[in-house]
Amino acid sequence: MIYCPKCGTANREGSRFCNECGSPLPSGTGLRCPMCGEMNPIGSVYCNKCNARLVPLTTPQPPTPPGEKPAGPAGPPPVRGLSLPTIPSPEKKPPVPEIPTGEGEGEDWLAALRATAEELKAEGIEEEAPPPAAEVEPLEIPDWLAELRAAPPEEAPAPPFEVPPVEEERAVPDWLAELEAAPPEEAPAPPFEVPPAEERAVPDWLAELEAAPSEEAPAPPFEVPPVEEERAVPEWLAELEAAPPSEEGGPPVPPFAQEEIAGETPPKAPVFISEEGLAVEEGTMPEWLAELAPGEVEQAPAAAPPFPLTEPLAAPPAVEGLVPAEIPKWLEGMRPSAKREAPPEEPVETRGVLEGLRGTLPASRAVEMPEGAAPSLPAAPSAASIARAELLQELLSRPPAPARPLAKEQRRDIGWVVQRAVVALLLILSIVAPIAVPIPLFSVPSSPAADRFFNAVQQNVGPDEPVLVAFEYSPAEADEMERVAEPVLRHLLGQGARLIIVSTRPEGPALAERLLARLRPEARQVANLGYQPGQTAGVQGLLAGLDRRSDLRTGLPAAQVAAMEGVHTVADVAMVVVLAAQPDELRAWVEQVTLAYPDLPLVAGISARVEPLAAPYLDPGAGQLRGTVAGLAGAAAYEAHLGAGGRAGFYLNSLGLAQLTVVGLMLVGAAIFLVGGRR
Amino acid sequence: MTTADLVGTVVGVALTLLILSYMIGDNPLYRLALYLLTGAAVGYGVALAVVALFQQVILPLLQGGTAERYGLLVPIVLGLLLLFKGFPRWAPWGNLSTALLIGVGAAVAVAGALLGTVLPQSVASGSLADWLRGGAAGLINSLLIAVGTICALLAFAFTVPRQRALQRLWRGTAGAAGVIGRLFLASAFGAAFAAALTASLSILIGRIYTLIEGVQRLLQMRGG
Repeated sequence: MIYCPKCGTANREGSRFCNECGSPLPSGTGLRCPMCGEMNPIGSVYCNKCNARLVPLTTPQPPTPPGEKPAGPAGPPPVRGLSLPTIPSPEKKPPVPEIPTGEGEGEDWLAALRATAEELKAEGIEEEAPPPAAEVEPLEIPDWLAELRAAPPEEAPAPPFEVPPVEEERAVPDWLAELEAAPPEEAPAPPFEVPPAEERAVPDWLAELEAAPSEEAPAPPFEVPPVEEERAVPEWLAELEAAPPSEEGGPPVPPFAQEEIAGETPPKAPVFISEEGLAVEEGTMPEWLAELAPGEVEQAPAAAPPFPLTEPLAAPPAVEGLVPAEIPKWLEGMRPSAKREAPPEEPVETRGVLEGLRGTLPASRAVEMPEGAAPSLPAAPSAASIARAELLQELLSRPPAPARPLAKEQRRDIGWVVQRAVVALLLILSIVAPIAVPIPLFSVPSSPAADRFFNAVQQNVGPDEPVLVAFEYSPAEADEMERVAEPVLRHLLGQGARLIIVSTRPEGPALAERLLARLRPEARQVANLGYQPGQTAGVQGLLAGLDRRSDLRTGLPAAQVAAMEGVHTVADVAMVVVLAAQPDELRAWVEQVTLAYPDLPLVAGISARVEPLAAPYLDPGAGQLRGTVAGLAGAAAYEAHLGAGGRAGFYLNSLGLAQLTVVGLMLVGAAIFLVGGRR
Repeated sequence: MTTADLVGTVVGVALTLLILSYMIGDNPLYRLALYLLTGAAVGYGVALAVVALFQQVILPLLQGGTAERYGLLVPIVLGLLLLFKGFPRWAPWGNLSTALLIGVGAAVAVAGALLGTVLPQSVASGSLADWLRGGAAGLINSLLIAVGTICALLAFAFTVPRQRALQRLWRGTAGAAGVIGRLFLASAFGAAFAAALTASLSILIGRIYTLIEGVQRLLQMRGG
């Protein structure tokens, strides 16, 4: 199925346009899932195979206060990179800040970094979810933080990171709530324990930070999320306050912090955060981490914060007792710069295999290869292929052929016209010549078929006998067929027969009337039943129901016409006469009449072109046709039987001369063809 | 001569000349006459169909008895369904009528061809009595028909047996018979061409004499 990228309608495979909205459908391309590699239709949101999101989630933008310059376009380009995943959790957690990293993937170190981020967040550096200041009370924050807050930032960059407002009930993250609910002994101590406010001992380095001029340490632009009044102190902090002091009786500061404060040598095995997040372990760690002394740990968050900081951190001031750590180059490159801007936070995926992750790689367009497609072309093309390619190239590069000379073409056209005109002139002269020279050049040929026709009429048609006459020719054939039909109808009328005229051609009844107008029969002798559609089937319909038709001459039903007296079907007529100019019409009448009424006399007046076809029906063994009058020659023979001259005999001289002319032209053409070298 | 005869004569002479202008090639005058002929034929056919519909359907439906009206119900419905063929979206509604027309027409044609042409002609050609009826000429005629039919059929044999021995035999018999069959076919085509040429010349003769008679009528009217 192909899903429409516009309306989502499922369309059949191979469709080019949507059945619902008509939008063009993608063909051959798709979205390749970055997780499993499955090709998905363009417009898919989730992968068909692994349910991974293919369309990146967008970060909701909070409304920009009036007068405040919106961040984004004016600022420097955001730093983008591979966001680290967070721990999947069935509960909905607040979005975790993104941790820029360089390379490598793995569950362990990702979980460790994630735990580090959570721990750091537990220190109170919560930069997310700042509720509106007017709605909540200001937070009772430590002094050092208050000073930092009070220090006016020298640089006023656009808010690099706008955290969407968080509801009141979300002031404390869930994971913090879990920590609260957990028993104190099971709750892993955070690596950085914030001492109670009343007995907080500010480290020296923090004190120096407080004493340092603001120019050296620009105030962090991020806003500490104000907390509600009753939540002035987080519960976990309250628990820490209420917890019994450590065995040493000091504040619950990390060991390395204590040692740092005391200026002692850091332990060899640094504190390491386990996968569980908050459990503190000592032992194995990478070498590059082992190089980081405990005293450098406090700088590590500044060097490689686990989440994007909203304020560019300045270089830590030189503090006595603190030695700058030697950070690897790749880690140094990840140090937040003052010029950098925190990337926009991306929402967390809520379903599929990417659930709990954010900022995953987006799906990319790819061309779908058909199944069974050859991965590549044959290595070496054949010589024939190369020759064809070269020929094609030559043809393409060849300039267009010049047009043929017009004069030569015109000479050829003129010659062709002259040739046709000469042939036409010769034919016309041969046809008109008998008028100028009224000499009978050709005698009337004998026609046994016409003789049989005449005898059949004489024997079967008496006075007042009905005869069915079918006019099956068109006006284009009337010049020949009228010469054939005229002596036949004259004979029938002379016999005193009643003519019942039918036709399966629309023009047939009109042509019959034209001919009858020349013969002038009595009105009671003719009934024109008109045109019957259906060709072969129409013939059968005519044979079965003559009396169900109407007379075109009088408009009366056939049963009320004098010529139709006693006639209901073809079986009631004395003879059937077919005047056909095409072979199919003669065949249809012969087949239907002889099949239904084999003893009914059937004769045909036909065109000369139908004569070869009618010959088999005239065979005495078949006996399907009692006689035929074919063409001008047959008509002339029939006129001779009638004893009166007619047009057919007159035209016969013209026909003979024209035939001789045609034969002569054919011989001349053949001779020219042979002499001219068969060109 | 009446005015109608005069107009008819003038139009007939003019159209005949336009048609005959095709002797020098295709030209606009010939096309004009051709289009007039086609348009007139179509118009006449439509008018005739309307008249036939009125006489055979409308009048019986209005004036006929109950049985006649019910009898016309089926053809009327089928005819109306056939009108849907003019609209591609509703064309399938006319399939029933089309199927009926084609089915009935094919059945009538096939039955007529088998029983009215093939069977009688085969019986007539294979009857020994008929062979002997005409004497020597009849016998020769019947033999020519039989030999010509077989040889003409073998002229269309374009395959040979697989066996080499039969191949030579086949080429010696069927091949030779095929050559004879081609002679019969050529003769038949020649006869058909001659018949068609004769018919065409007959029509041309009729047109030219009609043209001459028309001119003579016009000259007589002018003279007298």
